[in-house]
Amino acid sequence: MSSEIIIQTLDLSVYYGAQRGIKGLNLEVQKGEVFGFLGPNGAGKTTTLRAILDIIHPTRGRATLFGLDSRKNGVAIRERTSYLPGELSLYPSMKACCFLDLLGSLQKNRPDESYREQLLERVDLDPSRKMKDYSHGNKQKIGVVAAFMGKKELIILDEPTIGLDPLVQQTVLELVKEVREDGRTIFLSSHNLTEVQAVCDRVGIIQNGKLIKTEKVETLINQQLKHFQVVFKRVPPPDAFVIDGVREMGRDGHRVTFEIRRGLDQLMEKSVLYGIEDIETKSVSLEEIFLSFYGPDLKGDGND
Amino acid sequence: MINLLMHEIKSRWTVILGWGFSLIIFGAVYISIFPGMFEQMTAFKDLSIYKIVGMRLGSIEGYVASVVITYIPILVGIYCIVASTSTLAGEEDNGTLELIVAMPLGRWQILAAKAMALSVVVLTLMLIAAAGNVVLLEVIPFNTPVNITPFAFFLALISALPLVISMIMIGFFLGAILPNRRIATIVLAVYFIASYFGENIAGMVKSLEPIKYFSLFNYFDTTETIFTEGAKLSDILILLGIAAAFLILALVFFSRRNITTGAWPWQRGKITDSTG
Repeated sequence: MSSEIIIQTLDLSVYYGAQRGIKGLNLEVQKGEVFGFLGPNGAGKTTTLRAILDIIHPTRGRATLFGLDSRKNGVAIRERTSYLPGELSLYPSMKACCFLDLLGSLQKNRPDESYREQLLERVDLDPSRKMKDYSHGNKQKIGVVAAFMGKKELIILDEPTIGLDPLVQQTVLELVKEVREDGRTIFLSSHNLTEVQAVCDRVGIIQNGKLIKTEKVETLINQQLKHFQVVFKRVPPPDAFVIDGVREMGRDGHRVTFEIRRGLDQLMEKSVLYGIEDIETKSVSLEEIFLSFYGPDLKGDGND
Repeated sequence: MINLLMHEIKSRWTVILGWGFSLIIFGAVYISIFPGMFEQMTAFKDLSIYKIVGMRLGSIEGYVASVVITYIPILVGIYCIVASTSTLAGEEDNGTLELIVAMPLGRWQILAAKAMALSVVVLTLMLIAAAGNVVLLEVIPFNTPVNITPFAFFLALISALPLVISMIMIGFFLGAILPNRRIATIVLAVYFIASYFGENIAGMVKSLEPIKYFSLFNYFDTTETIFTEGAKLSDILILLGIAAAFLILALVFFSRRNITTGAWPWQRGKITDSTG
C-alpha cells in the first residue's frame, strides 16, 4: 500500500432538513487499501458517501478525491471512481445487459467486455432478462457487476452484499481483495462486521454523524479491547472492580468476565485481594468492539 | 451525453408511436363528426360555455382550429407534465438518478440530455400526429368548402411545439426545485389548467385581461387565422424564450440540488440541532 491519499475529507458536514447529516468528518483513505465504514442505521454512512461523490453537497468543509475537490472536479473524479448505492434502483423495463451497456457507454473508457462477462459468470447472473423479472439479490448482483466492471481506481460500495446469498457474498469479498491486490482502493460501507473484518485494512466508525474512531482492523482487535476471565478463590463483592476502562461483563460463581480498555494493572491489584485461581484472555471480534462503541442496544440491529 | 440522449429517446419509442397514432385517432373522431353536426353546432356557437373552453363552432375552420389545433397540444401537454416531472423528480424519487449522477457526466449534461430527448420525442410524435391529421382532413368528405390547405394545417399543428416545449422546461424546473415528483406534477398540472381556462376567461371578462399574459396559451393562436396568417413570430419567440429561461433555471437548480434528499430549496444546507 502506498501512502498516496485517495480520499480526504476536511471538516465535511452535511445538514439537511430535519434529517441527520454528518458533522465535521475528517478522514483519509490511502491508495490500495480497503477502508471499512461502520455505523448503525442513520449514523451518516450513506450521507458521507454521497457527499464524497457530490451527489449531495457539503454544507461545510470539503472532500478531495485523488487530490481533486469533489465540488469543482466532480466529472474528473467520477471518471476514476465507481459507486454502488446502498438502495440500488434500476430501470424496471430495461434488460440487465442493456443497463450495463448504458453505464459502460457513459464512461470515458468503455469497460472491457470480457471482464464484464467474467464478472457476470462469477456472480452467476444471466443478463438477458428485464430488471423487473429479477429478484432483489439478482438486482444487487447487477449493481456489483456495474461497480467492478470499469476497473476504476476507486470503488465506493454501500452495503454491497445486502440480499446476496453466502456464495455470492464470498465472491464479492474475493473481488474486493482482487482490487486491493491490483493496487486500487475500496471504500466499503457496511453493517456486516464479519465481512469488514475479512477484507478491510482499516475501519472508520461513525455515530450520529461524527467519526468517532479510525483504526487498523488488526490494531482495533488486538490492542483496543480485551476480554479477561478471572476465576477467584473468594467471590468478590459486586462493587469490587469500579475501575476506569474496565467493565464487568458477567459472573458465574467464582468466575468473572471483564472487558478491558485500560487499567489492567489496577484490575490485577484488586483481583489479588480475592485470590486468583485462573486467568483466561479471549480474543475479541470486531462485532464486540463495534458494540462496545455503541452499547449492547444495537445487537441484532438490521441492515440499512 | 450523446449516449444518455440516445438511451432516453430509445426508451420512449413506444410513447412516440402510441401518442402519435392516438392523436391521429383523436383527430379522426373530431374531424369526422363535424359534417354531421354542423347545423347543431352553429346553433350553440354563442354559448359562453363553449367560449370558456375556447371552442368556435361557426365554421369548419374555426372548429378545426379550436378543437384539433387546441386539443392536440393540450393532450401532448398532459404527456409533457407527466414525462418532464417523472424524468427528473421521478427518477430521483425511485432512486435511478443516484446512479446516473455518479457517472462521469456534469449535472448540466444529464439535464440537457434528458430535456433534449423529451423535446425530440414530443417533436416526433407531433410530426406523426400532424401528418396523420393532414391526411384525414383531405380524405374526410365535407358538405361545405374547407379553406385550409394541407400545408397550413400541418404548420398550425406543428406551431404548438414551442408551447409544449415550454411545458417540458417548466416541468424540468419544477422537478429540479421541488422535493418530489408528486408535488412537481401537481404544481405543473394546476398551472396548465389555470393557464388554459384563464386565457379563455380573460378574453371574455375585461377586468381579468391582465392574467392572460401569464398563460402560455396566450401565445398560441387557436383561431382560424392560424390557417391563413400562420403563427406569430413574436409568440413563437416568447414561448421559446420562456422555454430557454426555465431550462437555464432548471440547470442552475439541478446543479445545486442535493439528489436523494427530497428537500425544499430553503431546507438545503440548513444547520439544525438534529445532528449530534
